[in-house]
Amino acid sequence: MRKAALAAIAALMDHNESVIFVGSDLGAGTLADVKARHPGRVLMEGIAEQHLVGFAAGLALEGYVPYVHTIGTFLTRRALEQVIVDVALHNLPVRLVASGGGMVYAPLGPTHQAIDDFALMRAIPNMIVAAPADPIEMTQVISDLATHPGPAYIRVAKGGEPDVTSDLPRGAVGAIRPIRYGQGIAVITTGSLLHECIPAIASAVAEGLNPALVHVPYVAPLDTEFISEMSRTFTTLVVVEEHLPSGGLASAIADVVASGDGRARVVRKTLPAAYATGYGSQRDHWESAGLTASAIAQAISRHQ
Amino acid sequence: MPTVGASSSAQLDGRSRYLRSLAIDTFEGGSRGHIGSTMSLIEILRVLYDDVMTYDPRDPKLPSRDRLILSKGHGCIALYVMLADKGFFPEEELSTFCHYDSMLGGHPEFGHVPGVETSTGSLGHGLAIGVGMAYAARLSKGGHHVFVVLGDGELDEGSVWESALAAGHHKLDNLTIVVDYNKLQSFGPVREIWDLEPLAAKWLAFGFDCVEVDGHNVEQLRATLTLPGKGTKPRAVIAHTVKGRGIPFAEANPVWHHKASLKPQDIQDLRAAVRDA
Repeated sequence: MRKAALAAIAALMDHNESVIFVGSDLGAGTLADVKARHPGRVLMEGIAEQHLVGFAAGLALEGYVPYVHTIGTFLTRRALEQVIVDVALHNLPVRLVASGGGMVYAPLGPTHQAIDDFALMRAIPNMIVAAPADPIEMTQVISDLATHPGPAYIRVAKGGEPDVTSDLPRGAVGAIRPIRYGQGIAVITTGSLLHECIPAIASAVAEGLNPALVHVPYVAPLDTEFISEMSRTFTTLVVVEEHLPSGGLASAIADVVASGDGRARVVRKTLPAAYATGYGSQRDHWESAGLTASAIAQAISRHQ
Repeated sequence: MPTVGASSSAQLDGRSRYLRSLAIDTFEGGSRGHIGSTMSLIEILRVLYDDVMTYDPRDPKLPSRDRLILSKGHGCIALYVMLADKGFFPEEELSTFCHYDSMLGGHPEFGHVPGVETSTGSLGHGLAIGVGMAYAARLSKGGHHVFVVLGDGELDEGSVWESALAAGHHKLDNLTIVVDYNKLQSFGPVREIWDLEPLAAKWLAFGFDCVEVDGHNVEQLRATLTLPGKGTKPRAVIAHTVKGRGIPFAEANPVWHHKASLKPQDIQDLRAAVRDA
């Protein structure tokens, strides 16, 4: 998915001289071909995220559209004040392209695990928060945000995700994407866990259940009308996300449901409210937290 | 060149006293303000706006303008005074300082105040933005210059040095930073909190050209800030200043760093002090 993100940014750079890529000591050779075409607009800066975000704000104040790319936790945690003050307060078109969304960097430990990024970024007025599910959707998100005048955070998943979104109607920025219509219970997810939810829904259907599935590529801004309508239509909304229980998509949906007239119950299927103590793979942590297809299918049966 | 820690020996002329009187109008309007930090900045900003920078108050977004970022945003009254004096907005606005519906807050805000390039307030942010602006100016072949004014206490922020490293690396010769080295932080003397010395050596080591001046000496500031760049390096100007300059009872007195409930008698005392300065 990162490859798709970089390719989409490179494509923008080929057509728009205001687009600048700002990397922070990324892997050797990253975007070398693009740098050869646009030498002044592909920057590989030092390991200084606070500076990089402020630097990007300075570029944006001068009319450029910087794409700042590094590991998600360093953008959202280390440079949080710069993101808030330099970028969001000025409402500048800076794009934060965050590698390692959720537990992608499980083997590298908690310093690299972006399990609180939605919470941190959602708290910021003006910030768009996107979590595409596959490379095609990543390409679309980057393209759809190209002319957005304000800031955006884009969570990049592990990579290698199969295409599950190309047949869906293409929505505007912030649009929720219904995958399956159903009754009684609906699963709402974002990012790469859509790939676990699809087989979970299939097995629930095979059991004779009729769950709905919607994918939320934009955690912010959230289409509150859509969620309100769901809270009136369904009895249970199961929110599946690779994030802490608080502050992410589940919290956003619970907020909408609590302040509306719908009666749906919100069930959270998230990572635990804890820093990981083990390493292993992303999937190991999904299994431990009940975020795999089979665990999600069981949750659907249990809460139907 | 002044020695390290030297106080300014410069006399304040009529214009410097006038600008300080506008600052006192502003303190009076809001019954508050960072008094010491404002007064140490007056000559630095005066010379930049009177003699150095290109700008058009009727067109604050003129693409070819020089940019100034007041990274030590708490010194904003000195900036407001200069912007009002130059006609970016009417001087009467100064008396609305910190009122609920004023455009002039306790730190400068982008989009609120004509001529303010960026919102600042939290320290250690302005230089990164300035480096971005200077890089953008080079990329777009704009001939303008970027000035970033930093406080001495602000240099404690690690982010300043990240940006310094970047500016030196990119050889941004269209960037000048000015350190308002008034030697006093909120709590007390800079040298007792975190000594910055040797300060010039730090900037030199980060790839800057570095000059030290008396920050209240208009001639010295003018001569330094209008010097052509060396063409390969950003420049650091260490301006030795006195916190509270022009108000003897506030000079070098940390109690006057910020005042939040100025009484009419305080304002009278400030006015009298500046008249006699």
